[in-house]
Amino acid sequence: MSEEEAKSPEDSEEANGDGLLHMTRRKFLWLTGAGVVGALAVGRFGCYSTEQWEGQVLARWEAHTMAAAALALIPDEPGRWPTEGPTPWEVAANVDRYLSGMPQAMLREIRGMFVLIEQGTLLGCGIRRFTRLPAAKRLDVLLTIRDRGEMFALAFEGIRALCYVGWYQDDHTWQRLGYDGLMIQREGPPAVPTPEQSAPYQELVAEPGAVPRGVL
Amino acid sequence: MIYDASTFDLPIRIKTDLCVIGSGAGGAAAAAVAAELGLDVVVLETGPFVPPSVMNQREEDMMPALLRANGSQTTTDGRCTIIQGRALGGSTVHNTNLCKRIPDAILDEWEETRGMKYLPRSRWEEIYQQVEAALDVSPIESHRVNHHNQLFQRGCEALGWDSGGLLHNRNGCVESGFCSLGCSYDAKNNAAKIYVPRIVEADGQIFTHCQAVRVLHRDGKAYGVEAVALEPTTRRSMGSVTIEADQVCVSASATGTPAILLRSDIPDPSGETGNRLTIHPALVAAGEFDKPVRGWEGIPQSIASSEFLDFEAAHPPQDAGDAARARAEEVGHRTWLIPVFAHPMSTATIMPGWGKEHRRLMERYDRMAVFTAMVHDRSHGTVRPSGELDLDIEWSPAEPDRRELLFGLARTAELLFAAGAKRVFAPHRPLIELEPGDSLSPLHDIDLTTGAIDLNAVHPMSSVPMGDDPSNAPVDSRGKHHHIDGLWVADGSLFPTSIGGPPQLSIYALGVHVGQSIADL
Ligand SMILES: Cc1cc2nc3c(=O)[nH]c(=O)nc-3n(C[C@H](O)[C@H](O)[C@H](O)COP(=O)(O)OP(=O)(O)OC[C@H]3O[C@@H](n4cnc5c(N)ncnc54)[C@H](O)[C@@H]3O)c2cc1C
Ligand code: SF4
Repeated sequence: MSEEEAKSPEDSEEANGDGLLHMTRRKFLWLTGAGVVGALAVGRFGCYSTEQWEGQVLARWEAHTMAAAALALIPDEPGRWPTEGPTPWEVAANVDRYLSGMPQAMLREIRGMFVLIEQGTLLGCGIRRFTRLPAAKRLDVLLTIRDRGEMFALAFEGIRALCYVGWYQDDHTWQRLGYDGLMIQREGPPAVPTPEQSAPYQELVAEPGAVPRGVL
Repeated sequence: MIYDASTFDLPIRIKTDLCVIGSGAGGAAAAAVAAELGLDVVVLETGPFVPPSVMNQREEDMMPALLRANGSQTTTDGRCTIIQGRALGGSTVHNTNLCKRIPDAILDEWEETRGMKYLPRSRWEEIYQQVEAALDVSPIESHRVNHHNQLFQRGCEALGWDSGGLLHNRNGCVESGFCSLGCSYDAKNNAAKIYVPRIVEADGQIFTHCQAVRVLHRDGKAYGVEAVALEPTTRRSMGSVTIEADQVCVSASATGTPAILLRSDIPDPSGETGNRLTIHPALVAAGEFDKPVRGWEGIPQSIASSEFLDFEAAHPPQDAGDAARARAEEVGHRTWLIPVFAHPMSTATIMPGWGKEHRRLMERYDRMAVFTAMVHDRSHGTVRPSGELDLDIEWSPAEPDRRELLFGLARTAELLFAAGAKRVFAPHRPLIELEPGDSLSPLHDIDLTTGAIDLNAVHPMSSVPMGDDPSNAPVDSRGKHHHIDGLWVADGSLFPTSIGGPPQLSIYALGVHVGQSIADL
């Protein structure tokens, strides 16, 4: 998905003057979409670092936002990154892989969440976008978003969950938990890739491109 | 054979006798039986084929490979996570293999309220026996009960609560504990292992990465299915797959099936399609122990407690007196208690908080036991199609279910303390932390409407409930649609109510029943 696509707001429903609470999911998406437009107008989507990004789902700015949120939420103290696991940028890459194939509606919500977080400072009349703030201030922004409740609280929960999806999938984070990881990597009974066991399944599968019976 | 539809020369049009949509417990069983009885069968499955040799026990790989929305499906308000499978074999590939028949009190109620003339008790007995034999259902031997489940049992014994072993469908289990991510050892007797080979053996054809969009029908008769092949990574439509078939069986699960029927404008004067969803909602509490529990090791669930699950009380006969009716409304008859455990990534997303607080909680991971209270729910949710490929689920607990959920949560805490926990956590935002002797009232006082605590569900059901009277049911007790000829349903949607226990056995049985009914026609 291109960055342009990633920025298109859902346009099926209009925002009304209900205020920020009690909003439907669609209104939330519209609002975050409107945030994108506003942000573009003030040039807040430019100038991200040119660090190599080969994500399939997240745009570069979303990866930056993800990494910045990780730096605020994962360590004991915002900004003091723990040494045992992936870097914030690797957390973003892990999240990107995890999101691949998500239903489009959910991806739209996730994009809305990133807009809200990166441009959420706009809601509080802040000038600097989220990724430009020091880590402790980022945590403040995230908590301000959470405290608005309803869909905003869900957006906070969403980014929080993604941080842990990106962090705890890395084997290096497991030792602290006492978790000994995958059984197939330990001494133990062999998993199924033994030829005798996997053969019956392979025999069920047609060659890629094979033409099924009954084609009209 | 199993064909990957994403490799077809698209668009493609195929003729068959029966098109089955979905390859989970219901669809795979229905397709296998119908194919063995001589029908030419095509099964459409939106997910991939993930054989055991590909299963690598990693959450970040297996959840996207096996689960709808990569395991993140929620109700539209985001408050309840509903986990469902989307792979060949459906939710049976990643489930925890518990097997249980529907209790008599519920079957009695269904007969009273829905007729069920094609599904008398003798028929249930017949199809249960067939499925139990096919899946090799057996008791989980006591030496396989892991420490986590032993703690659960110890707590029940200390409190004098009923508890007992469970039945499962596994052979050759090496007790790896990775059931929820698919079995790398091929020990699960699931739909992919038991029924898919039977479909292929009987010359049936299965198309993976192929999502049904709508049932084609005209003049009150089904004549096929409009589907699309999906690009395996992005899951976007690559082109159309049209199936011409005189019989169509929708088995896309209790969420997928009503979404397809509604998108297809299938008439239903009863108004029940997509409007009676039940889910067995659950809340969890975690307890911290002095010594390691290592809940991820071994068979995940082998002991449960039915102390607060009284089907007779919850389902009085229609002619019962006022006292029995009042008793049915009392709290504490609809809660099933059982241990649950997740691997680190999923556990971390459930644990509340961030920063230091969250890291300290996760440091206790190996010393934690987690028990859940699953409710035999009565609240009705809805399923609606969303665009051509997606769906929206709404479910929130009505007052009786809300009370039952919080009652259950308090019992899990009680049980954890009785098992020896020195501290109990409810994953509420903010965290609720209790010590032995503390009042449990903070748990009873939780407001479930604010989203401060997450509900979880793994058993969506009853969204296209069967019944012999077309005025109150879309399909009859054979799974045959009342208003469209040649249209059938065979999955968890068919239950008229929630069933209060693990549903797979009964869904497989309904699949067998519907498959035979289609072939008999
Ligand atoms: C974590 C977990 C643990 C569980 N543990 C147990 C247990 O121990 N015991 C038990 O009894 N039950 C358990 N269950 C529940 C049980 O697995 C399900 O109730 C059962 O598999 C449902 O059967 P089904 O046929 O209704 O749907 P599913 O098995 O979910 O199958 C539906 C299939 O249809 C496919 N599909 C959906 N839409 C379309 C479409 N439009 N086109 C093509 N294909 C489509 C899906 O991809 C899926 O493969 C568990 C479930 C979960 C999530
Ligand atoms: S516990 Fe048994 S059934 Fe579950 S994944 Fe391990 S070997 Fe397979």
